[in-house]
Amino acid sequence: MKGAFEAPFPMDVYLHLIAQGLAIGLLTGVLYVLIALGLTLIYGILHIVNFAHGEIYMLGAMGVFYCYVVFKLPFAATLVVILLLSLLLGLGVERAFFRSLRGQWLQLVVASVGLSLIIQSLGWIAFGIQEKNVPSFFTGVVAFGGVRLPTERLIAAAVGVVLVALLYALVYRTKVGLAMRAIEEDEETARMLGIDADRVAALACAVGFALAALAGAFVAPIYSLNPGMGLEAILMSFLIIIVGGLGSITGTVLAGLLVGVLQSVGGVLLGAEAAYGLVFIVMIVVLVVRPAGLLGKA
Amino acid sequence: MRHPTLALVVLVALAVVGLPDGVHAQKSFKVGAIVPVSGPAAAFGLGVQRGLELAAEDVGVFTVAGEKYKLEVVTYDTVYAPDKTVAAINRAVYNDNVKYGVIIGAGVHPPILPIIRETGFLDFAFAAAGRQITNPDNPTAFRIMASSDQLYQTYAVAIAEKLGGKRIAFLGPNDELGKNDAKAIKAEVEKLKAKGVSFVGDEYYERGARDFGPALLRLIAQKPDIIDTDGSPTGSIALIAKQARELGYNGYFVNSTAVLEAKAISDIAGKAGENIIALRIWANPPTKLYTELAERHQKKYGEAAPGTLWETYGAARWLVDTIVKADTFDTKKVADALAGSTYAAHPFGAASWGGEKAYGIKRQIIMPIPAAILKNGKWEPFDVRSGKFE
Repeated sequence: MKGAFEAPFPMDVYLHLIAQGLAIGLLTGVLYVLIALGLTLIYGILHIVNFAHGEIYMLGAMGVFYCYVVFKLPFAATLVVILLLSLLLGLGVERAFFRSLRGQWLQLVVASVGLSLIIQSLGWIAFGIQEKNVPSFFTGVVAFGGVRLPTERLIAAAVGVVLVALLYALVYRTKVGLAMRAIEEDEETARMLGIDADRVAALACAVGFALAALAGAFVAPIYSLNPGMGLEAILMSFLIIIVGGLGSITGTVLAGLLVGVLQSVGGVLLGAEAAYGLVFIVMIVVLVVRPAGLLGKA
Repeated sequence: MRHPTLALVVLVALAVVGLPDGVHAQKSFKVGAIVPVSGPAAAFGLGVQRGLELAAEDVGVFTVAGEKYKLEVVTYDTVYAPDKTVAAINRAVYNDNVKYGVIIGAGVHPPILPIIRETGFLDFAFAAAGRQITNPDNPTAFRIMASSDQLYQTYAVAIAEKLGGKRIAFLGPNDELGKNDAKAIKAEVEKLKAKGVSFVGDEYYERGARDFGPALLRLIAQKPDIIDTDGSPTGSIALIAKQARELGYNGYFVNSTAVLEAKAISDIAGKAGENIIALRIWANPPTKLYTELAERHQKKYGEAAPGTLWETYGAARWLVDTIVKADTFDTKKVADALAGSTYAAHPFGAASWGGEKAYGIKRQIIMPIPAAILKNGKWEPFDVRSGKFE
C-alpha cells in the first residue's frame, strides 16, 4: 500500500521518526501561528476576511531580501523598515478600502481579493520570476537525543512565541486592546462609550499587516521567496483561524500547532498525501463538534 | 478651434484604422505561449514567453506563399492548471485563430490532447513524462525538451554506477510528471538489480510546498545513497537539499528534467546544495548562441535567463524555418516537414527528431544533453557516459 513504509522498521526507528516529526511539526506550527495571527486580529476587530494577508507576508519576506541582501542594511534596521512600512500600508489600506466598506461582507471580500491579485501581479513584475533567497542568519543544527532541529527554525519559533506574547499584552493588557475587544464585542455600543472605532480599527489593521510582514521577514531565510508565496500561507492561515475560532488569538495558537503536528507526524507515519487528508479530516471533525472552532464564540 | 481639432482627430483615426491591408508591412503569424505566467510555476512560463519574444526579434519578417509575416507572441496564462489550460487552448484556437504554440506541463496535457488532435494544433510540448504525449495518435505534438524516459534511459544507470549508489529513492511533485518519473526510474533501477541496486522508496509533494521534512524523514529512514528529485524546480530542490542535510542525509541528489540555477541553490541551501547532479545543465556554454541569448536576456529583462528559454527559442526558430521551406501554415504539412528536418542552430547544438522506437513516432527532440554537478556553488561538468535514446 502506498503511504506505508516500503520496508518495516524496528520500533526504535519508528519512535525516533515520530519524535523528529513531532519536533519539526511544533516548529512549523509556530511559523503557521506567526503567519495567521495578523489575519485573526484583523478579522476579530474589523470582521474582514483579508485575502491580501498572504501578499503582505510575501512583501515582508521580499523586504528582507531587498533591505538585507540587496541594500546590505543591518538585520535590525531591516526589521524596523519592514515594521514601519507595513504599519503604514495597513493604515493606508484600511483608510482607502476597508473603512468605507465596513459591514459590507461581500464587497470587502471582493476588495481584499482584488488587492491580493493586484499586489501579486505587481510583485511578479517588480520582483521578477526568479526565486529570491535570503542567507540563513543562524546556520547549524541543534540535536536533542537524536532529534535534529535547525537553529534558524528554533530562532524563528522563539520570535513567534515573543510576538504572540506581545500581541496578548497589546490586546489584554492595554487600553487600546480593551477598545479593540469592545469593538469586537459590539461596535455600536463601543462608539456610544466614546471609543473612536475608526482609529482603533485602523490600528488593528496596521498591527495585523505588521504581523504578516514580520512573519514573512522571519520565514525568509528558511524558505525561498517568490511573489506567489502568499497563496500557500493564506490558505493555511484560513484553515487555522477557522479551526481555532475566528478572532481568537489563543485558538489560532492551538490550531496552528495542531496543524503543524498533524502534518508532520501524519506525514511521517502515513505519507505526505495521506497527511494532507488527515489534517482536513481532523479539522472537519473539530468543526462538527465545535462549529465555532476550538475557542471561537458561538 | 473646435473644428480643426475634430478634423485632426478624424484624420488620425483614419490613418490608424482606415488604411488598406496592403499598406501594412506584414501579417501576424501568431504563436501561443500557453503557459503559466502566474502562480508557483510562473518562472517556467515566463521563460517560454521570453524565448518566443527573443525568437520573434531574430526571425524578423519572413515570407510564406508570397505574403510577408512577422511572428507575434500571444500569451495565455494557464496557472499550470488543467482546466485553465483547456480554456486557454480553446480561446487560442477558436477565438484567436492561433494554430501553433508552446504548452507547458505533462499534467495539463491529457485534457487538451483531444483538442490538439481534433484541430491539428501544432503543440510544442514543454513537458517531461513520456508516451502520454508523444505517440502516433498525436502527430502534431512535438516534445521540445528531453523526456523523462530519454533522460533516465540515457543517464540513470550510468550515474548510479559512477557514484556507486546502491539504494535509490525518489521525491517529486504529486502530479503526472512526478508519478511518471518515479515509474521510469523504477524501471531503470530494475535493470541494475543483479548488481545489488534497489529502489527504496518514493514520496510526493504538492507543487509550491516549502516543507519537505516528513517526506524526507520517511525516505532518509530507508538509508538511500541517491535521492532523485526530478520534476522539481530550483527553489524546491534547494529546499529539499537544505532540509535533507539538516535531517542528516549525506548522499547525492539527482535531477533530470528541471533546469536549475546554481546561484539560487547556493543562496538557499548553502553548502547543503553541494553534490546535486543535474541533467540539462550546461556547466560551460555549449554554443556561441547560448552565450549571446543569456547576455541578451540579462540586458532586456534584468535577470538570469530561466531554464525554459533555450529550448523554446530553438524550437520557434526551427518552426519558422520549416514553415518558410514548406511555404504553408497548414499544421499537418508543417508537422510532417518538421519531423523530417534537422536544425543545426539550436542553442544546445545540432538537433533532430527521434523517439520512433520508444514512442512509435518521431516527435521527440534529440539534441546534446549535458550533466553537471554542483561544487562550491558552481556547476562543473559531470563526466558520465550517456546512452542512446531511439
